[in-house]
Amino acid sequence: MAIPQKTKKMLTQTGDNSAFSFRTKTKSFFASQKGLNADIIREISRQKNEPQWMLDFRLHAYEVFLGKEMPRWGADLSGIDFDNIRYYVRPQDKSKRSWDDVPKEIKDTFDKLGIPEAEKKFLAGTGAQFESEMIYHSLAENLAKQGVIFESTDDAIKNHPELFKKYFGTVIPPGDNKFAALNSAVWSGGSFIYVPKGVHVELPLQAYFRINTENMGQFERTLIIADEGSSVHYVEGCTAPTYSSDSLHSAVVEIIVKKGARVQYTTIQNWSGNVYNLVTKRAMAYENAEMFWLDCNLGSKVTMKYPSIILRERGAKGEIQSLAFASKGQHQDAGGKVMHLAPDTSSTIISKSISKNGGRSTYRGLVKVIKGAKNVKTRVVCDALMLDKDSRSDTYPTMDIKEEDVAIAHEATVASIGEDELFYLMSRGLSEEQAATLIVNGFANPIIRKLPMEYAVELNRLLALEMTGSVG
Amino acid sequence: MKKILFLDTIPDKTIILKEDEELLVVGLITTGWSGIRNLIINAKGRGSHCQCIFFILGTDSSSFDAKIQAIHSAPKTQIKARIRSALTDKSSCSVEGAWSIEKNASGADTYFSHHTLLLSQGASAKTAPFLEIKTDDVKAGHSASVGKVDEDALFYLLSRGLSEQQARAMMVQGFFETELAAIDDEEIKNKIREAVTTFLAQTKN
Repeated sequence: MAIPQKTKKMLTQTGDNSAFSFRTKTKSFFASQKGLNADIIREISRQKNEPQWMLDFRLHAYEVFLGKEMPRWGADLSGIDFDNIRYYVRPQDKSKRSWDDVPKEIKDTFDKLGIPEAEKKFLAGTGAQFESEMIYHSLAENLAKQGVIFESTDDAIKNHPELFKKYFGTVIPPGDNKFAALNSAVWSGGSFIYVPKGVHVELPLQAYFRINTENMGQFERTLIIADEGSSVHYVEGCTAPTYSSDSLHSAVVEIIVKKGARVQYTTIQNWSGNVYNLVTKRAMAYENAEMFWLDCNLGSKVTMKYPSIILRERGAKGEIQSLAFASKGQHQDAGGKVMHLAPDTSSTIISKSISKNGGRSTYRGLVKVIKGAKNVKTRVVCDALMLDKDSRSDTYPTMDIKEEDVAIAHEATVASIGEDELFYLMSRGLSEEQAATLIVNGFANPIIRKLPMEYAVELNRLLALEMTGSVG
Repeated sequence: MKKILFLDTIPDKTIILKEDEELLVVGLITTGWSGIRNLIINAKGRGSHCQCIFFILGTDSSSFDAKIQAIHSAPKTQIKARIRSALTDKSSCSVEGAWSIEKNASGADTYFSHHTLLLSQGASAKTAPFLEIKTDDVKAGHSASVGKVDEDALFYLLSRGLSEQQARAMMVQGFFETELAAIDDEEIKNKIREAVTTFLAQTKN
């Protein structure tokens, strides 16, 4: 049996690490001083020309942030120095629609990532997050005609104040956790999407994120509203350049899936090894709505991220699939949460994690069924692959069931790469590294398969990159 | 020589396993308690094996709240726990299984399962099978489920001429019977079967 051509190609695409860790010199028009106080928040709000209610919201969230303790569970966050973070940087005054208007050095950075050519053809609109603000936004004309709104969150507050105010902060209030409060106080950038009733957005909408000023935090805020019977797929991908001191990325993503609507939110992250990635993501699903989180986490120093779904009305469905790869010095603390608050709701959580070179990956999940939520079905599967004896893998699932008429199943396995599998592949002419890469890819494939094609290729390349030099 | 420990509760206790020690813990638990019980099993001796099988039969408003900690702190150790609980009335069962495999415990083989049958509206269950693994040469798995008697299977039995009561009883017995296979002691097996029968007689109406 020959190795399929595709696999061979994938195995040779190990690439060059430096391609993903470069930085471009940029001129920032406004950068706040390091540290945080109420005056900085006022200044952010003033710079953005925000309405009074948003400033009040920010100031209130800042109070909540100060009042909340750091989480005592999960990953080690002691390395975060809130006073050494710049909370707002803005590269230019307005976000631009045309690619030609984007400054050259910023374009160079994107070109190195291979964004415009490849993605433009495939993706309907592009929002590129570069230093806290959307600088590039294009939306295919037919989408605009259908009434689909796809803007930076900063623009949306001005252009669609009523819609914005109605939903902003309703799924994740500032009091949810310390980092949601921080985001609420200093948020900047992110995407705002509104899909009107019955409209199906055929192509995925996409935004590319980059952190590019040393010590600069990213606090983007995304709000997606899928009105009744509509559907949309949003893709977020990140590749950050390597920097010497720690960065904090603390986003908030709120999604509202109305009756009969469907939302898929896909994330591929490859933060550099010094980023704290502490993200709060939650979706509210109404009657017969469907929410799907697809979450792939590579890189970062610490990731704490548990996409959640609240199944609020009858017949709602939720699915969370995640892939985590923890390498040396990294802790991927990821998972998912589903709250069944209504009858006939169902959910699936599938988590796959890989730990290597002393990396630590954690699955942390919760399935909750309240009393009266009859005929609930849920399935949780977590698989872990450990590549060496220095690595660590943890699983913390919790199932809290207050209703009798349910079917809840959970299973988990932990495995290492077997000598037999390696031997078999090596006897077929693969090197040990190629064989290990092949096994890792096979393990991750059920998740990768769900990604849009170009992202699947990119993720396979990143996995192969991660595996380079991992054996021997 | 395999030792058997036959209990009627989950005790507040620390069990330390010596080299090559083999222990089977069987719990037939029908009386609840208040607060949280803490059972710790530490496989300190190389090659030690421990298997725990707990049968929990909950009635009235009894509560079974326990934390079971299993620590693999030597190579080639095995700690396996299987818990089956059937709950009626307003009884509740909450088990946190905290399994950890330490760095030196290569060749560890570990398993934790907690399956719950909820037999009445008002019964509730919480299960949290935690797993911390600090080395790679291990076999580890866990599984958990919460649900009611399977409607399809029930329908099948009814179509074979059984009354609903008989069919339900048969399915609850079957739910526990799967774990009895691991117990060699006939006397203990019969005690468990009897307890299940008594439990079913109490809950039939």
